[in-house]
This record gives sequence, structure tokens and C-alpha cells, in this order.
Amino acid sequence: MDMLSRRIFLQGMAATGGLAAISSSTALPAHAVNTGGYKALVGIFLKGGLDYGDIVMPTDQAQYDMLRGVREDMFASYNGANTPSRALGDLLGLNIANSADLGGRRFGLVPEMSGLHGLFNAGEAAIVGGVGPLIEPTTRQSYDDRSVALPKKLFSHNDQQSTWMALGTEGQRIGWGGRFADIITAASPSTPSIYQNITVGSTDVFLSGQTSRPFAISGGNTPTPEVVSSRGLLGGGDQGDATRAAIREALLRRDFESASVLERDLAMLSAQGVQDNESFAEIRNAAADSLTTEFPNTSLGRQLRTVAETIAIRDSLLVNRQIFYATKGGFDTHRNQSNNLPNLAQEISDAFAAFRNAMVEIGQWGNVAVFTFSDFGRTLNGNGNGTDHGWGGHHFVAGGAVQGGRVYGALAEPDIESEFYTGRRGRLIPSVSVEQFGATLGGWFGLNGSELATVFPNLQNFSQSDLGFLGGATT
Amino acid sequence: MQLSMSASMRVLMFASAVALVGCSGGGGESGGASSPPGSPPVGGPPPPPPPPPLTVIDDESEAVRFLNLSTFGADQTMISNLVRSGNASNWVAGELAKPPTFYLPRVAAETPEDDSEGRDVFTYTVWESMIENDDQLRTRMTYALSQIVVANGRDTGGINSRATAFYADALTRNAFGNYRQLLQDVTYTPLMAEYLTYMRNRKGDERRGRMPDENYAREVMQLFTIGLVELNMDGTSRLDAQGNEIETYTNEDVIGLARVFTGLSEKGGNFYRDHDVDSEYSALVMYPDQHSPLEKSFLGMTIAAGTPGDESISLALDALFNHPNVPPFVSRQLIQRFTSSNPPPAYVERVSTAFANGSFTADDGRSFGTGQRGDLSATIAAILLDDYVLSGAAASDEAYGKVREPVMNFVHWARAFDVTEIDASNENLLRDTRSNASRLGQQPFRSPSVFNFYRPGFTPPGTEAGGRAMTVPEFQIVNTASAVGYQNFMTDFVFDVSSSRERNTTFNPDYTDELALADQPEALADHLDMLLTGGRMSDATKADIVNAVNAMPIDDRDTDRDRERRIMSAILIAVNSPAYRVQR
Repeated sequence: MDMLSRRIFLQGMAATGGLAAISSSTALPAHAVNTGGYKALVGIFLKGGLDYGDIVMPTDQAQYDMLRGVREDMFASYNGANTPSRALGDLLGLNIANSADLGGRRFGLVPEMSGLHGLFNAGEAAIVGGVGPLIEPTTRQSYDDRSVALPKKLFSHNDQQSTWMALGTEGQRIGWGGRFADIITAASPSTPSIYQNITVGSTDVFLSGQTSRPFAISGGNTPTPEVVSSRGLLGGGDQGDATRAAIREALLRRDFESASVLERDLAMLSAQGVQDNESFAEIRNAAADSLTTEFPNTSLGRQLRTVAETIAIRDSLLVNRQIFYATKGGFDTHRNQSNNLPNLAQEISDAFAAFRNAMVEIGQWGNVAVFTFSDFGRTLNGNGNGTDHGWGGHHFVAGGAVQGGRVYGALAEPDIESEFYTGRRGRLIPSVSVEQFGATLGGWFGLNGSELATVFPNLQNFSQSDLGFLGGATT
Repeated sequence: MQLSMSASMRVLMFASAVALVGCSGGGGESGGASSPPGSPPVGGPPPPPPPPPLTVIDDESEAVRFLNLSTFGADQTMISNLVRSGNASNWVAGELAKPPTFYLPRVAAETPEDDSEGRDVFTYTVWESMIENDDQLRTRMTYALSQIVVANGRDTGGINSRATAFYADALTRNAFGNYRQLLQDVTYTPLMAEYLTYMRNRKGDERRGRMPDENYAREVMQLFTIGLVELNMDGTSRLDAQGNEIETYTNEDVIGLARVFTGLSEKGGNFYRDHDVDSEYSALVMYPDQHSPLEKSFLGMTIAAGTPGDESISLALDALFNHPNVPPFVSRQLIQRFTSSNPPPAYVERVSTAFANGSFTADDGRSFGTGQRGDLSATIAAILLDDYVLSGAAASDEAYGKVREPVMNFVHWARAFDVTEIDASNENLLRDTRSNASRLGQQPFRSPSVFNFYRPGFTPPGTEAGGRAMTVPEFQIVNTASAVGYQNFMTDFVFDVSSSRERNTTFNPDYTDELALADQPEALADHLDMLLTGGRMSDATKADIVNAVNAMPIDDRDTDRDRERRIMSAILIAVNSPAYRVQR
């Protein structure tokens, strides 16, 4: 099968996809979606729960002292021989365009984040403050007296990861990244969806839709069966060709007849892996490799380089909407935070900066939006040199289309007795919901209001369905 | 699906037994024969002989199936022995009686005292143990428990082979003991304390804004004992009057319990330093000055202010262990590790009951367990000797089965083909098997987090199983990359070309039996089918094997090599087949 006919064949496979079990109840109005031009969302999931309080820090003396007072031991662990500074004067001040909204309070990034700091002050990155899972607007009072509907299983890693990605606790099968892809695909059925959603990190629910499934590029690799490609195993010349073909046929047997659901699924998943990787490798090998931007040799650096390389061959992949998912672990900083979080902060920041340069290089910075998300924020109040599970947190969004240099949502004062927190340890109550955050990304990506409402069922409970960080009307 | 005559009959008998129970409205299930063998006839014509107990193993097919559930894969010797002895409950009893093989002595023997631990001896030892240990059921139970009470020594500040071995031995020692003791022992391992950050966790100090670390308090509840929502004995969620799940604890419970896990550090020296040389692989000790003196309130219980640390921990673990969630919470996960990715609730309830009562009686009348709540020998017997599992009713259930972990698929190959020179340290591919694009996507005792490689509640998107809302944890580590990564990893071992530290002298498979069939493709396919799956391979897979073998000409230049290529191709297809990778 030549490349073109295989690709058409694969498109057909993607459309039918062996998905007999999934209903087609999601037929959506096709006309409304904006799928013109190329756009990509790049989500970076920070696994374990990011301590926003040790990333975006107050830089006016009053707030700084307040924060220090509830995590004295951690501040003492910083400023050492092996730990960076958290001295007020060393924080990287943010020039916040909407500082009036913050009532004169000032903020900065930790010194390890010079890359993101540069992007923010250049207006290419924004901070979304106090974002987290919510069903409806929630206050300390309404939380305490349970007069408000709350997300389930708050503070639990796996369930809050799932809630951020798929709006429900563990066991969800459809994430909002996957739903975006479903809607885009339904609107332009001639577009293949195999390479629309791509994970370069772990395989989580975020990119799974009702019809779309993620393609995985792990460690930059799209492996193909060695027994088929290697001449050594089955003899040189043409001796082994017929056996190679027979083995390949066995590995590609996706419509496996069996009395077992699990055997059928396993055969389908395995065959799909072989098929999608073979096709991707063929496309990539045919495309010119043009990217020269250097990426840091870190996990996130390598993952975002893969994203950039894939965006560079978007035309060969026949996609004009893509959602990428990268992951980085290690954020569950119950202890040794001053030793561990700074490296992670730097890794995030440097990866953002390199990715930005790569997108500028190929002229796509205006067409991508990169964002962070995480299990939850962490307690403002320390446990020594560490922090425990919280709820809301602050996140970054960057891209040429981002209305940057601004703060969206809220940056609450670090006063754990105040109305912005719950309980005794300073767990931040979100001021904007994950659904508002996602809908803002989705609106820019091309989904219309009614489509966003189907993806985000609680969006109607909030006055703002678009937070404005991607230039949408803040309504 | 081929069932032997007796197995088919038993399916019918099991079905009618269930139907009878259903008619009488009784809650229990008796499953098999109820009258003891040899009961005197009560006049009239002699009744038909009672059916043989479900634990009887009739033939090679049944032996392979049972051994694949309960070991790291059937090998020829075990298959022959089980066919000869003919009874699964005897086999389980025999495994329970075997002396344990511990990790620490083996790891310590290979690690010099002054070793900076540049070599990951524990990892090598685990591969070798899975392949070679004679106490296979205990070794597998240890591995199963390591996926519930999870800790990872390799990624906790460097290589900690001895500390990991000490933790693994706590699981090994209690694998057929009691879950309460297991919780106790694991809580006092330095590895778990490092992993869940309660090593040197101090009492709070409000003046400095410091509270005790909540990590272990939260995870010991969420992951090791009670879970997040109240459960029925069958593992399903209890619901309140509004139909909502009922959460088991709040942040206030976590804060209260966090005070309990303060004051622990390594033995010798003081709280902070100067510990004994063996302190990393010795039980933790309590440093009273660092233990919270405050009242500890959680889950409706209160430990009085001033209660000493060790006593507080015992009281807290007692309270957790006696929570009604523990039997279904632990039992369902253990079932998932042995027999079923998506166990039916009635099966979970039978195993939970065995866990709660500490006893189980198999269909042949053999009893297991001490009668103490949390008895793991009763629990594992209930899992493996369950009537539904043994009767064949399970095998004919479309939704039944367990997707095997990649680790298990690899180790089974090594066992089935009697690999020799099992020196894992020589095998480069075994050093780190976590990559899903080029390895197994999984490494024993090296989970990416305390949430294990996959979650017990994972329902796979984009699959038929997901559409049926089935849980299939193992599919969480399957994606397009791992699908090919697994194939290539297995290719290297099956074709005996795996990269090694020194020359290729280790992990040599013995393919003598297969080479004898290299010119008889159908017989080769049947042989691999029986050896690996107990005769459960599909006709399509066997046809694939025959095609691949026939396609390889026997060239005059090197006929031995060509025959090797034939049988290696056949084995590669077999270990990639759905029948091999899904236990039924």
C-alpha cells in the first residue's frame, strides 16, 4: 500500500474506529465550529499538585511577611548553599498591566523562572489566579455550611487530576481535550483525527473523546515492529520477507474474533498502535526536518520539542487543529520543597521559553496556546519544608494570541483566616472554575457557545464564560 | 472455546446451583456439591455419584489455566505436577506451607557493606525471584501487595536496594499472614516513611506556622485501608438517601490523623542523624519528643492527649483496619491482581467475606485461614478457589478475564521456555523497563506514584470494555506507543538478541521441544497453545503461526538456523496473541 492510499485507509479507520460500543449521540451542529487556519492547544499537566505559593509570590512587604509567617520553616530552608533565594529582593517582579485590579498589591515569580518572567513582561504570557474545580461560585461561608454544590473528592490526587481533565472523579472516560477534538472532527469529517490529539507524556483521560483517541509519542519515539523492519532476525536477502509479512499481518489483526471483550479490545489497541506508528513514521520521514531551536535536555524540554516537531509537519499530517498533552511529575512536595520545587520551576519556565522560540521560528506562535494545569494547589501553611494538598491554584497561559502581562481570576492575599481559604491550613477556594478556564481555551480553539456549554455543563453557573486571556469577550 | 467434557458439565451444574439459590431467595451461594462424599444411601436406588469437587484439575489445560492465575506463568514441571496431584486446593495449601524466600538476604549478599549502591541489586533480584522462586504464590502475592501498599525505592533519592528489600520482605512475611500486621510492619519501614514523607515528621509548631505533614495520614486511608467512599461488601459504593456516594473522611480527619504519624525516624543516634548503619533496613523507632502530644481525633475516634507515639499508631491502625470498608477495598484489588480486571460484585463479596471472617472453605471441603479478620491466606484461597473462577462459568462469561500486566507476560515467557543463566544484572533491557515505547511500560516495585501503575477504577476510553463501564486497570498503561514497545521488547528476548552488559550468555531460552516441531507447523501451534494458554488460543492466531512458519523456507545453507527462525516467529506471535495477554 503506498503512503497516500494508506493514509486514506487510515482516515477511514479513524472515522469508524471500531467503536461499536460508543453511541453516536454526540452529533453536533457542524456549521458553527471555526476550523479555519491552524491552531494548537498545548496542555502541560504538573502531576502531584503545584504549590502556586512558591511560584507566584507577593512582592509587597505586607503580603510577603504574611506568607512567610505561615511557612516559616520553608523560608528558613531556602537561601541556603543548595537552595535558591526567596528573599524579597531576588523575586522577579511582574509588570502587571491590570495591577489596578489587585489594589496595589505586587507580585513576582521565583528567580528560577526567568523564561516565563520574560514572556509575561513581554505580554506573551498571562497568569490565571485561583483556578480550580467548582460546580458554582463558592465562598468560605458557603463551603463551611455546605450550602453550595461541591466537586467530589476534593484534595485527592487521582480524583482531582481526573476532575481537572474530565470534570469528574476517577473513572471518567472522556476529557475536555477529547471533547474538543470530537467537535472539531464532527464539523469537518474529512479531516483525519488520528494525529489530532497527541500525548507526549503519560496517557490520561484528558485527550480521550467519544470518538477521538490520543496518539502517543513517547520519548520522541514512534516505534514500529522491529521484527518487520530488522533484516537480522529472519535472515538477509528476501528469505525472511514472507515470514515478516505474515507476522506483521498477525500484529495488525484488529478485528479479532473472540468470545472475550478484553481479547477483542487488546487486539484492537495493539493493531492500532502498529498501524498509527507505521503511518506516522512514514509521514515524518518524508517531511523535511527544519526545526533548529535548541530545547533544554529535560523531560519537559524533550516533550515540548516533540510537540514543536509535530506542529512543524502539521500539513503532512493533514491536521489543522491539534491538542497536545505533556506531563511532568514531582510536584507533590510534602517535604524537601526547597530542594525539589526550584528545579521543577526552572524546567517549566525554560521549556516554555524554548517552545516559544521554536514556534516563532516556524511562524506558529500566534496559533498556539500553552497552558499549565495540576491536581490542585497546596496548603499555604507549611508542614516544615513542605506543603500539603490544597484546592485552587495559579496557572500560566502563553502564546502569541494570549492577552499577556495580565492577571485573570484572582490572586488572594496569603491570609489563611480570610474568606479566600478553607479550613485551618490555607487551602485556596478557587475564584474561577476549571470550566471557565477550559471554555476560554475552547472558544479560541474554535468552539462556539453552545458547543462549549455541552462540554462544560456547569459553565452556566458562572457569570463569565470567557475569562478573556485569549482575546475573547469577557462575557 | 474448548472445554473438556467434565468442565462443560460443571458449568451446567454451577449454573443450576446458582439458579437454585436464586429461587430460594437465599443470600449465600454454595456452588458445588453439598453432600459430603460417602454419605450413606437412604434406601431406594443409589443416587448418582456426586460431581467431583470444582477444585479437581483434570488435565493439562486446566492445570495451565490455574497456574497462570496463581504463579508467574506455568512451566512444564509445575504443569506435570499439578496434573498428577490433580487438586487446586491441595496446590494452594502446599504453596501456603512453603517457607518464604526473602529479598534482603539475597540483596545484602550481593551488596558490599561500603557499597554506594551504584548497582540496582534489588531490581535484578526481583526479576530473578519472579522467574525462579519456588514459593511462586507467595512471590506473586508480594508483588500484588506491592501494588496496593505502594512504595518505590529506586526513585526515592537514589538506589536503596536494601531499604526496598526490607519493605518487600514486610510484604513477603505477611503475604499469607494478617493485613493488620502488614500495615503495622509497612508503616515502620524506612522506605515507606521516605516515600510518603513521614520520616522525621515533626509535631506541629503554631508559632512557626507549622503543622504535621498530612501525606501518610491521607494516603494510608485513601489507598491502603478504607478508600474515599463507603463500600458495600461486594465492593460497590454505598449510597445515601439521595443516591450519592458517602465520603469516608474530611480534611479535619486528615489533620487529626496526621498528628499520629509524627516522631518516627531511623534507629540509633538521634531524631535527625547518626543513625545505625543498618537503620535503612531496620524498623523505625519513635522519638517521643517529636511526637504530637495533642489530642488526635479522626473518623469519630479520639486518642487522648499525651498518648505515646507507638501506642497512638497502633490505635489508629486498629481503627482503620476495623473500618467496614477494608475487606471489600483490599479484596477487590487483590482479585484484580490475580484473576479478574473487572470482578463481578458477587465474587468480590465472597472474597471480602473470607477476608472479614478470616476463613474460607473450598469446594472440596478444605478450610483455609485462622478465623481472624484480615487473614490473607483465607483471602488468597477465596480468590483462586472461588467456584465461579474454577467452574468454567467465568471462562464462558464474555466480560470475564484479566488483562495481564506486561511484566507478567515477560516473566511467563522466561518460565515457560525454561530460560537458563538467569542473571538479570547482565541484561541491559531489564535495568529500567519503564519506557512504554521501547520496554514494558512498567517495572516491578517502581510505580510512578503511590497510585500504582494503574488505578483499580480505571475504565478504558475508546474501547468496548469502557463502553460497558468495565474496570480494566492494566489498559491504563496501554497506548499506541506501548503496543509496539511491548512487541519489540519481547522480540529481543524471544529471538535471544537482547542487549547485554557482557557477551550474550544470559536469559537463554530452551526451545528444544519447539525445534522438534519446526517442520510440523500445526503441531507447533497446538503445542504453544497448550503450553502457554492451556488451549485457549483462537483459530486465527494458530493460523497466523502456521502461515509464518510455512513462509520461512528451510534453506540448505543453515537449516538449524532456519528452524530456529521458524519457531521464534511462532513464539513471537504466540506471546503477542490476545489469548496469551488476557487471562481467562
